[in-house]
Amino acid sequence: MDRTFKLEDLAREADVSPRTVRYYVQRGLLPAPAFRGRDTVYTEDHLNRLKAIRKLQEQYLPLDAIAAEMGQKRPEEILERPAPRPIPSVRGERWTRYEIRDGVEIHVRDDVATSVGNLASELAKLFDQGGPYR
Amino acid sequence: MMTSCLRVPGGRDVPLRGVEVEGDVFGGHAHVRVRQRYQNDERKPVEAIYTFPLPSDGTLVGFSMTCDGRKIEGVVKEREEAFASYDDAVHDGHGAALLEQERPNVFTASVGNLLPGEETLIEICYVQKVQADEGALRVMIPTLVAPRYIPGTPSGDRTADGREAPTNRVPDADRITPKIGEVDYGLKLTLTFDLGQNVEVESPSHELSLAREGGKVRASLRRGDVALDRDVVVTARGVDKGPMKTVALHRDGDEGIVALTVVPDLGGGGEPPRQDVVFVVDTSGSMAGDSIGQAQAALRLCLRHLREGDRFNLIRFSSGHKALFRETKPFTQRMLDEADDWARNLIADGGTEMLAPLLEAIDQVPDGVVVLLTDGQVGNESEILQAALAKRKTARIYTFGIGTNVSDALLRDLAKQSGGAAEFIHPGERIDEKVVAQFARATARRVTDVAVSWKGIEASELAPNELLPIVDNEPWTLYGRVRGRTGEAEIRGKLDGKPFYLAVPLDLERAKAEPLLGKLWASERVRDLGVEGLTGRRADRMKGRIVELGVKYGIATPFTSFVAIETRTGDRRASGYPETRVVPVNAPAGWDMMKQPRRAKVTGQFLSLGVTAFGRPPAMGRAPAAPMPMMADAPPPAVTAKGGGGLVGAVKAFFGGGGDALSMNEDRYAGIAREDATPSDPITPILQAQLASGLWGPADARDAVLAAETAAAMWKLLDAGVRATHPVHGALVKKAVRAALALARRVKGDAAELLRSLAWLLSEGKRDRAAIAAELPAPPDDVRLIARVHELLAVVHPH
Repeated sequence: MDRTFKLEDLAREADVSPRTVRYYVQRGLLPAPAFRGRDTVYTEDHLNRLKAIRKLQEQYLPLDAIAAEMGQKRPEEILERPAPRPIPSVRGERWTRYEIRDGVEIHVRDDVATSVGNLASELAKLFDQGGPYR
Repeated sequence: MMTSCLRVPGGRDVPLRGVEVEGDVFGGHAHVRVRQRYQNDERKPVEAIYTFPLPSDGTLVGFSMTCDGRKIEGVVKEREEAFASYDDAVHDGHGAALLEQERPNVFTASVGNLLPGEETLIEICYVQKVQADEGALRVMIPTLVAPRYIPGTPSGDRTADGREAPTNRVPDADRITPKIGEVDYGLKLTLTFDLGQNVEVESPSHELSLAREGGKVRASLRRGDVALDRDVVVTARGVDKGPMKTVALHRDGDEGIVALTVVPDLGGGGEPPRQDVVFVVDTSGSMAGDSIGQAQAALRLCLRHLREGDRFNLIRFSSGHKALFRETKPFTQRMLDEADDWARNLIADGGTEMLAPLLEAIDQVPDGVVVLLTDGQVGNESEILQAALAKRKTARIYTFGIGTNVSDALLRDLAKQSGGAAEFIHPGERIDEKVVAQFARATARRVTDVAVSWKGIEASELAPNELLPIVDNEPWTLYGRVRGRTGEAEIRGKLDGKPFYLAVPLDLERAKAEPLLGKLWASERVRDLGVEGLTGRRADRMKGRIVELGVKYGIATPFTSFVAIETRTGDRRASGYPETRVVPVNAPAGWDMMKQPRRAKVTGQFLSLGVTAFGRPPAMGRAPAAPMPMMADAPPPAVTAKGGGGLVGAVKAFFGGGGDALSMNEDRYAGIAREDATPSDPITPILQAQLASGLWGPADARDAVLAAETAAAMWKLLDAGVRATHPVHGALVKKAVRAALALARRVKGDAAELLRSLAWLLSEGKRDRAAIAAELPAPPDDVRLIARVHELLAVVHPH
């Protein structure tokens, strides 16, 4: 028999607030449990999903991307998959820094700079259109 | 055009159809009802979530949901408990509505199981204090939770769909940043001013249609449905000053809640003391457009209210901050010029890191005055408030809320809790009046170390808990729980170092009944019981007391929410969770961040003061205007000599005809300032050219030259009817009069007599005038003195 959880217990187990659980249900990241008043329970699957969401968040994925990922894979698959490792830097590579806004830079390795073209300026434009940030 | 950020695939409708606001404005307070109309045009039930603003100084007193012909009143519960009731009801297929307070001025309404085709009405009622100041009263109704700056690094989990993710410094950023999208709901608004007389009602923000009904004025938006993209500001002028002392009571069993309001007349105290002032200006991206120009104009006017001997500094901030001087500097002409240049070159761009510059300002003047100019659009309000209050010794913070969308909560709290004051400037409103009001308050006499004792009446649980200073002419209110019938409240404190005493008789049997007083008292208590900065058990205890007050008195607080539930059966009962529709909001009006290039240089400059409608001079044969060489780089006064009539004739026309009719008609002067703006405003250039000392002329000129130029400028002010009693420019005229009298002691002869004569003509009050008259060769008289001034002017300033 699968473990079941009251909302508070599930939230504690997954280290999120009950309000966050509710929010994920709203967003479609978690299926809604069947309503049984005070006896409403969540399942092991809910817990796994919450853990998978947490793992994807640690990889700095936004919620929309997480939703897409969760739509394609079972939570167990996500949990088992190793996290991507940071790319080690290679000596002697030349990089150019572009400031696209005060405090925001992108770095482009020189040997791909031509193929990337004017990515930096495109990004800068996007920043301008994407406001309001403040 | 930004695309909708809504999670509404396939462009389905937003269920919010419209917002209607109706308010009754009485002397002292306004009752306002906000109705949100929802309709679901989809095939299945949905839940709507709408993040919207209310004024931060309002007290929420009612919440209801009406659907299918039934109105269900909300009840107040502890926040998470209220949410659970709502969530369970919605999950179980019933109808429910929840109102949560995110900030004193940001609320979230969740309305669940909106049934297909059915209309649901949510009504929110609040009471707001509105205080007439100098006969004018201002009602501001926010319409939009505008994008605000969220400091900190991402941290924590979302509980809502806001544009910003939670950060370590704003853990609920996702709850206060509604997404901007396409909006097809609008606003209807009607305010009824019941002020018992014929007041003049105007709006700088919207076109109004006005109707008088008996003694009331009904003001509604001329256009039926306007965009919710800017504050609605409505002002009423000609409001009587309320009584100096009022006592209102709400009976609560054998106890009562009393509100005691005093508008003290502490009298003028001679020359105000020297001041240390640091101006802190928000130059973040959200100030781009009109706002930065207004801030610049306000700043330059503020600078002109400083006097020689004051010390000052300016700090601008966006993502970082920078001060003009390393420490405060004495206010001199050279410093004023530097400050003007600095203000002229402000550019709005970047973040809103307000905390560090505010603390630096307080650090520079721990016992002085900080003037903060901002739109208040930040998410870390309580962090800033707590740090600023902890840092100040007796420093007072005066705030200017600037722009079409101002977040008022932080500005009001900083001002109120530091003993300062807040003013708000919507585009089109007169900046000068507000600057004058703030400086009048900053230099007004005040009673400090205030304590109250009660005779014949038992009083407890006072709010505010820490009594605020009593400022001359500003209403001072104290709430408390009382027992007894008649007695006295004895207010004691210190005024200019001497003991102050005021006894207010209390006759609770005959006090004005005010049924909402319980709620107002409770909400004032809640404001006192902030939990910021507390942790562990103390925080829990504080929270417990807030919840208790919220639930008992039925008010929304950070820890209590309103919830209304309609139990449904049969066809109207839904199954399973509804899908959620987040209501998008407009982009704020006047924000050019969306369209304009990032480095767009701000064009708002001091001369855009056109919005501030300076007075038109009285129609009269104008005296020949003396050229004013020192204003070479200022725009020349647009009004030039029209000749005709000669001076004395002009003077007679000006003062109302015959020599005997020279009584100074104050109303007439007061009226001048309210006339429409005219492009040919002769006053602005004169006042802009006034030196830091209060005189006119090249700053380094000899006394004789200063005397001549000052006399010429004062003559022009007199000619335009701008005297010491002028409602707007009075302070600058007084400064000129004082400086002229001091100069007269140095220059002797004709120039001295000329300056003294002009000082007498421009000044006000028997005592001031008598002091000046003592130094004049003959007892003054308006007509003779004006003729004499004309003679002397020809000698001293022969141009």
